[in-house]
Amino acid sequence: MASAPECQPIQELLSDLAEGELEAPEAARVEAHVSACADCRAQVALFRGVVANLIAIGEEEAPAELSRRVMARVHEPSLAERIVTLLTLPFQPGFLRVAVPTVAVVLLAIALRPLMPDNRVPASPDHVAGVPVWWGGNLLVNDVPHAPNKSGRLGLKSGDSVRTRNKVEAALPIRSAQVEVKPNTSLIVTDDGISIQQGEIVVHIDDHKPSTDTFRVISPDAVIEHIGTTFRVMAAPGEYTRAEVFQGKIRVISTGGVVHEMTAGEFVRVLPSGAIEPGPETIPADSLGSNRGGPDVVKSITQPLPGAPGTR
Amino acid sequence: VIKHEDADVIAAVLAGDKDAFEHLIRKYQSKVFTLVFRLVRDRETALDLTQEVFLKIFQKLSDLKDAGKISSWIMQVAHNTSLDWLKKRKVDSFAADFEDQQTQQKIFQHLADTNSPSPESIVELMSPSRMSELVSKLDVKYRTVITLRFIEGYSFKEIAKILNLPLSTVKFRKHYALQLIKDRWMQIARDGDQ
Repeated sequence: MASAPECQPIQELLSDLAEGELEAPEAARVEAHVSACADCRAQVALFRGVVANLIAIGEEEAPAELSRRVMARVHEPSLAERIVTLLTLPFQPGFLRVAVPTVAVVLLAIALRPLMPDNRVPASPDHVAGVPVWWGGNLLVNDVPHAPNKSGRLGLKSGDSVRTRNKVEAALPIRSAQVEVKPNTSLIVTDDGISIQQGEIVVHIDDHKPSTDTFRVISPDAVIEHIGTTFRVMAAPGEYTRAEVFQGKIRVISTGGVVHEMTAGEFVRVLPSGAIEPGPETIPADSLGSNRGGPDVVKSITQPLPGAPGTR
Repeated sequence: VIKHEDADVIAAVLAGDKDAFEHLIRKYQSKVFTLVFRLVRDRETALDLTQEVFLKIFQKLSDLKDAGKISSWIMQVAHNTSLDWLKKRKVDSFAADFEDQQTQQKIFQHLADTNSPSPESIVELMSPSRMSELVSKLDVKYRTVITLRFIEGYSFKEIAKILNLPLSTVKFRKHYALQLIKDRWMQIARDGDQ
C-alpha cells in the first residue's frame, strides 16, 4: 500500500502489469510511473514473484480410480431404462413360465406372513446361501465400487471397509453372521464382527450352526454382543446408538461400562455419555429413523459377562 | 478442433454410447479435480465430489445446447457442487490477519525501511508449495479466482462465464487476492512463519 498520492490510482494496475495483462497505452503509462517510483517497482517485482510461483503450483492429477468409479455409475441402468425393461418384460420369451410360479409363491408367502414367528425381520434374498448380494447401486468396499452383478466375489476380511450409499442395500456373510446393511451405512469388518460408524445393520446369527465365535458389533457408543439371535443396530454418531432384538438375546455394553441384556421385542438407546435407556417391550412404528453424521471414537470397551445363557 | 472433438463425443453419448463419456472424463478430470480440491481442501472429499460432478454432467448432457460451452459448463457444475458442500458443512475458514489494514500498513513501512530485505530477496524465498499454503487460507471467492486464473490457466472472460460474474468483479477479486498473498508473504519474510 504505497502512501504517495500519485501512486493511489496506479495500485490496482500493478498486478495487471506484473501479469502482462495491460493494453499498450495503459501499460506505457503505468510503466512510466513504476520506473520513477521505487515503492511501486518493488510491488511489481513482488507481484511477479507471486504470479510465477502460483503458476508453478500446477494442476492436481486426478486419482486413477476416478474414471473407473464414474464409468461404473454411468453403466448402471437409468430409471427410464428400468421402466422400459419392466414394461417390456411380459413380452419377453419365457416370461409366463417364470412369472406364474413366482407370483404364486409371493402370494402364498403374503398369506402365510402373519403366521410366521417374526415378521419384522427384513428379508434378504440370500440368508441361506451365505453369498454376498447387494442391490440399488454399487457397494463400496475399501472405497472401490462393486457393481450389483458382481456378487459372490467380495472376500471380506478384517479391516475391510464397506459403505452403502442412497438406495443401496446389501446382505453380506460376515464371520458367523448374515448382515443386512441398510442405505447410507459405513462399517468396518473386525476380527470378531463389525464396527459400525453410522447407519443401520440387521444381524442374523443361525443358532443351529455350531460355532464357538462371539459376534460383536462395535458402535460409537456401545459394544453389542450376540447371545444367539437376530438384532438390529443403528448408529447416529454424537446422538445415540440404538439396539433392537428380533429373536433371542443380546448383551449391550456401553462405553461407560453399563451392561444391559435384552430379549426379543426390546430396544435400548445407548447415549454418548455411556448411559443406557431401556425402551418399551413393543417397538414403535416410527423406530426406523435415518442417521447422519460422522464416526465417534469408542473410548472404552468392557469385557463380556461370562456364562450368559446361550453364549458361544 | 477441440470443440469438434467434444461435440462428437457428446453426440455419441447422447446416441447411447455410454463408453464415449470416458473421453470427457479423461479430458476434464484434472481441471475439475484441481478446482474442487482447492475449494474443499480434502483429497477424499474432492474425489467424491468430482465423481458427483461427472455424474451430473452425464445425466444433464442432453440439456447442453452448445457443445462449445462444455468446458465452462463442467467447471460451473464443479464450482457449484463444491460451494454446496462447503455451505452444508460450514467448514470454510477465513484468515482474519489477511484483511487486517494495520498489518498492511506495517508491511508498507517495512518495505520503505532501508534496512529491510530487497523485493528480490523476498521473491527468492517464495516457492510454489508455500504459495499453495497461502492460497488455501484465502476466502473461498478469492481462492476460486486464483485457482482458475493461475493454477488452471483460464482467461478472465472464461472465469467470468464459469462464475457467472461481471468481468470487472473477477479482475478485482484477482487483484485483491494477489495483494493479500503478496502482503502475507512479506509478513512471513519479516516475522517468520507463524
